[in-house]
Amino acid sequence: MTAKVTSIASVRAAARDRAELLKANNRAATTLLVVVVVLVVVGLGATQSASSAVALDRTEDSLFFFKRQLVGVGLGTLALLITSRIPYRFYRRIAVPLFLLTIGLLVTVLLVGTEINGARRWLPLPLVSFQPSELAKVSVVFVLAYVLERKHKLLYRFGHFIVPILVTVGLVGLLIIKQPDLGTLIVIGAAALAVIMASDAPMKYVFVLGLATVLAATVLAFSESYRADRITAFLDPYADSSGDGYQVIQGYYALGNGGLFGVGLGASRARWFYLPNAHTDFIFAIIGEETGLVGGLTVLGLFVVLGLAGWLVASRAPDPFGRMVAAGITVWLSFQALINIGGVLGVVPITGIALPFVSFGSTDLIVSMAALGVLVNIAQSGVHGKT
Amino acid sequence: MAAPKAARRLQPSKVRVAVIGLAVVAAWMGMGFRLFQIQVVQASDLAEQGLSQRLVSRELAPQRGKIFDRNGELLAMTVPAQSIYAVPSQVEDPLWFAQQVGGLLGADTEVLYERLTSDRDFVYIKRQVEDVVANEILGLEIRGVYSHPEPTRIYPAGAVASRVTGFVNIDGDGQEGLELVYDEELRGTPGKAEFERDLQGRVIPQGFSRIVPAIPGVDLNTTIDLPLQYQSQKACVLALEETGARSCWVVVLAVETGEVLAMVGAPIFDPHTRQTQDPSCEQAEDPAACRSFSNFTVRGIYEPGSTQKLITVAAALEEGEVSIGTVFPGVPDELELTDDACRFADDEVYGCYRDFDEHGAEDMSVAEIFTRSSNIGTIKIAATLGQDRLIQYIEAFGLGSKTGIDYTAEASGILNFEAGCKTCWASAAIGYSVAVTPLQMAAAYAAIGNDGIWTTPHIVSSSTDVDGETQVAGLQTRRVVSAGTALLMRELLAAVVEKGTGAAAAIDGYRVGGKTGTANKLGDNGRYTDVTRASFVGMAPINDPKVVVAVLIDAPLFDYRTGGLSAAPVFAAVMQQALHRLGVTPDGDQR
Repeated sequence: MTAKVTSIASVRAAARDRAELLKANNRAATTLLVVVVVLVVVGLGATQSASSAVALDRTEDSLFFFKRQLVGVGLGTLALLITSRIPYRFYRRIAVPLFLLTIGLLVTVLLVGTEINGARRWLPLPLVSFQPSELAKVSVVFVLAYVLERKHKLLYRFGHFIVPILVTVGLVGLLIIKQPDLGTLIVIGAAALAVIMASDAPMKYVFVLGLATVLAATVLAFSESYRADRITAFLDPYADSSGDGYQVIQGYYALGNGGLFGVGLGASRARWFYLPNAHTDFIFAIIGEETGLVGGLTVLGLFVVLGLAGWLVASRAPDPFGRMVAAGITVWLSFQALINIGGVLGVVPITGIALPFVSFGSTDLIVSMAALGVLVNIAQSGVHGKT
Repeated sequence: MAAPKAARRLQPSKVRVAVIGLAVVAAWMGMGFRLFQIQVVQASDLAEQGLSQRLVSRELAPQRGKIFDRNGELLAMTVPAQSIYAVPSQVEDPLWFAQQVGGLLGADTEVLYERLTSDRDFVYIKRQVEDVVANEILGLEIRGVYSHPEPTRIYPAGAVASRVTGFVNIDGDGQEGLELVYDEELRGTPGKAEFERDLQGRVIPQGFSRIVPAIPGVDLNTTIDLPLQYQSQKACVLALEETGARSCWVVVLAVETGEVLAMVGAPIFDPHTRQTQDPSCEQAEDPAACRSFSNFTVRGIYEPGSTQKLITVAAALEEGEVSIGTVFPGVPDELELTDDACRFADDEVYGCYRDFDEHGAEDMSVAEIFTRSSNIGTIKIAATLGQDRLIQYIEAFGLGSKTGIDYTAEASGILNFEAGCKTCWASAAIGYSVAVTPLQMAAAYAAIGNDGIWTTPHIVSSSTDVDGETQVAGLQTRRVVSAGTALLMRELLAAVVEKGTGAAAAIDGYRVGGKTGTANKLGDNGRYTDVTRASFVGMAPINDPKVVVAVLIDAPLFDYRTGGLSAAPVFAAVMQQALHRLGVTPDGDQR
């Protein structure tokens, strides 16, 4: 390292290294974009298939949900294009203001939000409804990455480690529990945990925190009777097949009906009012019914590829902030997909969260695509150690 | 070069990022496994369970078979109709609705109003309304009015053939007559329509569907001749008016085949409404019996009286105990089989027999005994046989057991020969202490007409299904007496009409033979009353009989109390039509 004779060679080698990594990162970015485009297209098709019967019944327009999803895709694409062009370092600067805004919105929604099915999650805006908790996913990742980066030299002290986490994740968590929207909170928790794991904090702290999170999640899960019911239904859906277990069982019927190769596009039976929320939470069951195991595994594969590409981006990020943000976003999207599909497959309780890029729902779609844009930008921003 | 790379790789955060990646990939692999489990391993079970919740199966009602007369005229058929119903919750003004809609359809408005205001969610306004009427009602587009197709059974011959066809209930189940006997055959086999429906009950367009068409019921071809049936019924109805009788029954049999050409009863009833058209039933002693839809010719039993003598005399001739010319000396008009029986009033002691007309003791030939219908003479003839041989012939002629006709609930009749009964044989010889159905008696006479061979009467000759026509098989025939005895008996029967009690049975152009019967009815107290059952059974043309007609008139007025007075004219009217319908060549004189 000290020898002058090697300096030219080492510079050349480093340059070659960097060029290769950049190329790899570009590939990762391209991969991410391709995956998202495919998922969004799959989502549009599945939304139409899953929702047309319900749409016709409720609005006399079988394309009602499809049209809205199309608008969401347009806005999401716009968001993705914008965020992929904003240098991610910019988010260091807006992390705290964005976080404060999020807190403000979360408080607002508790005060004036529209109550649907006993939960206040929606801010009634003139044109679209907006869920502040979706924004919270982004801002928690940003603010946590920002704080942990700034404190990375102090992280060996538990107080410096735990206080920022409690202030950010804890506060958001409390406000979201008040709504309540446990599904989103779990995703935020997972994303936050990913950010923390990607930070320079000592392993033991991370471990303790992880354990505490699992404990808290368990307590929360059983704190409300409807959540406890969902978990009981998850353990044995057939115990209450017309009540809490109904949706899961109808999902099974759909998947079973699909078999290996599916019943064909548009030929789903579950969509004829049998499967509740077919176009939102349970869209994966419709995909599995119409395209079979082949289609289902393809969707799983796309999410695996998305996760791996995100992981590559994180591990090659130019700086800790980029690494933490990339890890947070990747885990958020992967975890949300896992929880959603896991719910359909009956391996985790139903949480009511969307399948990213695929489920009907504008807010989630726009926020997810914006987050993916950030990931693309990190991928294209160079490699570790060089800025 | 290696050192910095190694150092970089060992950064704890990087290791942990790798752990995250591995954990996520592992989780996805788990999902993949679970997906395989659901979509491959458990797929068929799950798909089947799912299908079973979507699959509905509707029964496709088969078209009920038609019933034809012997000339291909329709006696019964099923036609499309609609049942009109209301959904009370959608009816805005039940009172107006009941009066207007109910009124249009001829429903009972009060009952309809009551039902509309109850908590039912489905109320029939009227079932099985003609399509034309139903469409008119539905065309008014009144809220809450609906219809569903429900075919209805109609009987083109109306009341004329109702005793034969019987009828179905509102649900199309055979209740009486051929509709009941052949219910299973007529009914057909229901088909099935299976399809997948959505949660709101509509058919899923891409869903599975299968239709197994219903197999229509077989058509029945009967031996009934509708014009003859009509004429017979008309004769019966007229007889009721004239004689004031309670009921009149006629069976017409084709002698050689046992085919029932006509089978009627009056009062008549309409198979559509199942109401008798005779308003006098309201005043009748027993309105229910008056209105009865039952068929007395097959199910009703009565003491036949003198028509029974045919069997007694035929048996004695066949056994060679007597010949036509055998003379019984000094036959009185009264006979005591039990000491002092005739000294007691009425029937306190059985065993007193009297002839219908008073006469002094005179010598009478077998022929005279038969044509004058002497009870005492007939008992003397029976005495030559003894009870055992008499019973043997009575049974051979088919009395005391079902004829085997294809009609429901046929009666066997009663032969009363209880042990120790000293007078039963004598009573039986003249048609008391036995009870028969009009059909049994017709079949017994047909055996004489058919040269001594008894044949099972039947109504359905063949059935037609999708594979074609099938003849009814397995009709029993048996020889009862020799052709010679049958010939002698026919001559005696002809003599009854020509110079005996049955003069009113004569018809133009044909030689007719027959026997009158007048039996006093038992009262409620077990004693015989003045009320009679008057009957006439006969055949024509006598040299080669084609048709047997049996007529039974229940409880005619006193002036018409004998078979010769009330039943023989009905016989003549029916027989004339029957011969005409069959195109039988006249063999007798034009009067």
